[in-house]
Amino acid sequence: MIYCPNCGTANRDGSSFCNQCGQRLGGGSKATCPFCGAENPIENIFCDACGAKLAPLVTPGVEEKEKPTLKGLSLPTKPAGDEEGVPDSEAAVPQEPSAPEGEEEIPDWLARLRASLGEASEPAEEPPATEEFAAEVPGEGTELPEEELPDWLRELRAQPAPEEAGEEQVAPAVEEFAAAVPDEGAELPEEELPDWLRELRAQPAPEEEAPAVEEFAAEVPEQESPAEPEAEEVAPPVATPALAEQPEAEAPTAGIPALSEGEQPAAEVEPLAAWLQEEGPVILELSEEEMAEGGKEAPPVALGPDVPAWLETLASGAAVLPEELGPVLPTPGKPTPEEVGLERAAIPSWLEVLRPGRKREEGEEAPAEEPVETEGMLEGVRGALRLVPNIDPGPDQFVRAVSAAATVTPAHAETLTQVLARSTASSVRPRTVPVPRRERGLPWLAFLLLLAAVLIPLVAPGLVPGGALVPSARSAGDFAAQVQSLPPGAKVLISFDYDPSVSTELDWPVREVINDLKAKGATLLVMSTTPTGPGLAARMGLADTATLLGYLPGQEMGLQRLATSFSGAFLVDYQGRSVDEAALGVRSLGDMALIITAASSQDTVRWWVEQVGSQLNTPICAIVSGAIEPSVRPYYSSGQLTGLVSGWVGGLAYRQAISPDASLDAQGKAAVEAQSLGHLAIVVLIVLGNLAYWGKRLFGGRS
Amino acid sequence: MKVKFGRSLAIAITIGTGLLVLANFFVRNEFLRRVQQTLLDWAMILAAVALLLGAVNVVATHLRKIRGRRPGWAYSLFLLAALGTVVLLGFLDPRGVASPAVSWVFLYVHVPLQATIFALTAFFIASAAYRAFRVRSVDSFIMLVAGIIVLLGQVPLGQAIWDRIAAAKDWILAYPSTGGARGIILGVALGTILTGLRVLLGIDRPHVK
Repeated sequence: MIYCPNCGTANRDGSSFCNQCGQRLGGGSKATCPFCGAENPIENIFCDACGAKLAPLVTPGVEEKEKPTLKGLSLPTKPAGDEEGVPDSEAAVPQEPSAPEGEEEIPDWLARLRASLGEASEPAEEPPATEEFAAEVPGEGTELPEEELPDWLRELRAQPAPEEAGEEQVAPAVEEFAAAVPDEGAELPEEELPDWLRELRAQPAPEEEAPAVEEFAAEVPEQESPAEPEAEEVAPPVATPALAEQPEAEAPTAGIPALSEGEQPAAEVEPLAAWLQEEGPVILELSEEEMAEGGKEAPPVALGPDVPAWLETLASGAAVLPEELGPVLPTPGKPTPEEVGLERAAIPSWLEVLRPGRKREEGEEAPAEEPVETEGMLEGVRGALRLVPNIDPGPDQFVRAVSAAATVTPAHAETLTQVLARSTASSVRPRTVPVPRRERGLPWLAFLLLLAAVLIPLVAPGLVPGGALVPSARSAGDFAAQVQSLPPGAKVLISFDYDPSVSTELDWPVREVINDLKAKGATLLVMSTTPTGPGLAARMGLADTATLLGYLPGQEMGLQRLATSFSGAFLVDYQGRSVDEAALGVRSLGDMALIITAASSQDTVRWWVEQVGSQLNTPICAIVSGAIEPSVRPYYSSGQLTGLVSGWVGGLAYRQAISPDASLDAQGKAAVEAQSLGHLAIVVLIVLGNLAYWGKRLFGGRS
Repeated sequence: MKVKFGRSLAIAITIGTGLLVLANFFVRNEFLRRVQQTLLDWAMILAAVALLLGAVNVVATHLRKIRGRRPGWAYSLFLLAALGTVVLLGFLDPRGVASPAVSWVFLYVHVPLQATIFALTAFFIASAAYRAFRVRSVDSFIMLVAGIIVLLGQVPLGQAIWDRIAAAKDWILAYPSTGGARGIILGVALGTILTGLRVLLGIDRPHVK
């Protein structure tokens, strides 16, 4: 909640303006402490300087917390200033020191009425506001140590209070208010009185009391007052128990701000106990005839000594109402305004409809039995205004209302048609980020370097340093050892699991391995887990020396199936001939002496290791592209792959391991040299990029 | 009610199938082995049918594009024409995909084109090496040095520059690189186990929507 620095109204978090007075609620607003004058952030509840509570002393009750004041709903809000300004019977009146704790304090006249009714009424529950306030007030008889008291309280204690004897235990706020409100019977000097009180004293008291009574009477629902039209205009003042509780000092209407439509008087809300609601109408004991008479003198009601004098005056009918109330409550013997030629002010129709207790027009149907409020502050009151459905229509109803009210003109329709006919494509062209001038030549530089890497080995073979110098590779050596250890006629499965995209990298090492296997007299079975694999295998000239099994669908599921049964996985081979296990001499992968997978994806190698290698003891070797070598090397390090050849260079290492005296042909040498230059070009570009980067950082734009 | 029953039945079939295949890994039983092989055969057939469905979907998509004269519809026309030609060549020859005509298309059209497209990545790699491989911190410097060693250690030129660069490359690939890759593989394996258990226990039901 954000409390308005102007009126103290609690507003929703994030509100920019006060719901009550429109005051801006920004971060720049400050809440001034009423006690020490320090400025605090607007969100503060307690003062940073003295610890005084900045928020309203009477906090909202539970029901109010559940229904926070919503911005834009026009619901009645009760400013905190009203709660403090209107003398609350519990919060503003100094507590009597003799009142026992937990027992409701009631005036004598009310106690006598209770006794006369003979009803064992339960004490009214103390409103939450009072509980919170009581929590802030030191307990009766408790004396806080001097050092724990705030500065302002110590200063207050140091000052001699006028009625210190009976008000020592009163909270500071009450004490301050009590000091401002003169006690009954106490006579303050004229200069110490506030202006409004001096003005009030200058006027006759009965005329001041009547407007407040009339105003409150207008709030009383129709059902609570007798049904006669004349009596409905003004409910007898004494029929409002809340008013009857008002002490004399609270009577002046100048101290009570005017209540707007739908707003409820603060004094009515909480002190009104359930038993009092039931007893309220009984207090008067006025018959309908007496109510109908209106201006007739009411029988004197003995209300007791605690009833303020102004209330007794009103109850006895001796009060003289101001002239503006004359038509409402005609004074006997005095001409009505109509009689003296004055016109009655016209009440707008919408306000007339909302006015409770209005007279029905002729022919207007009597309203149906209106529901009784079952909860909230208006519990037990019949015919309360249904604010939410009438004032807060909700977003759906609002949209419907606006739609219904909107008048569609041809201009609107034409505009809408034009908008709908527009292309949804954005008319704003994306801004092209300009390439820095020094980087505009980069594509050409990269192109030239790569072109040189390809052309130089072809144009000038042997020019590249290193030539066909084969780097050592232990994994390729292990691969070669595995091939060399095969006995003649050993069954070897080769799976072409790579795409045509890397065929130029893997074709050569695969061909080298197949040639060695042929030389060893191995029985080759060729398959693939990719649809394009059999086509790549067919390029190797294996049709006569190997069995092309073709494509095995299902990825790892197919490999799992292949691990258990060969014929179950392949019904026909690549040529369309049925696969005969007996003719092949193979029933499952377990009969294989070696499995070789040539893969361009690490997933394929993983499938082989997981689905086949984990179940069988058949050694698995892999020929992979250089890009995935780091990903599959852990399988080689763990022994799940018994050999690993990576790309062209791995093929060279394998060949070197098989026959150290063997030499590459011209095409092979050109390929190796081109790869060397390509790698060198990448390194050069990396170095150039970093030189440019650091040049810019060190020398700014001069680089 | 029917929907609920059907969904429950599908979940029950899934869990039962998974448990049967899983049990064959731990219990040597002829019945379980046959059940597993049958289920794997079905799975392979379904995978092949899925490939066929993919081809049908490609045809349908490009047919819609041609009918609607959408931008680039001429390319769709060429795609369908090439697809129809290869399929027709395969059906006309009893050797199927092993027919010389299909092999010719594969060897002299498909493989060179795909290899060429892949080769173009060399230019992107070169450009990225210039723009992105910057030394901005100690970490990036270490990575840059390791990358250069592996790049040059892969080729004979690196051997000519420094004869121990291949050993350095092997060390980088065998220890730091393998350690990181193994961590990724172990993470994938744990995720696979968890996903399998969730499906087997019916917690995840990606197949029932």
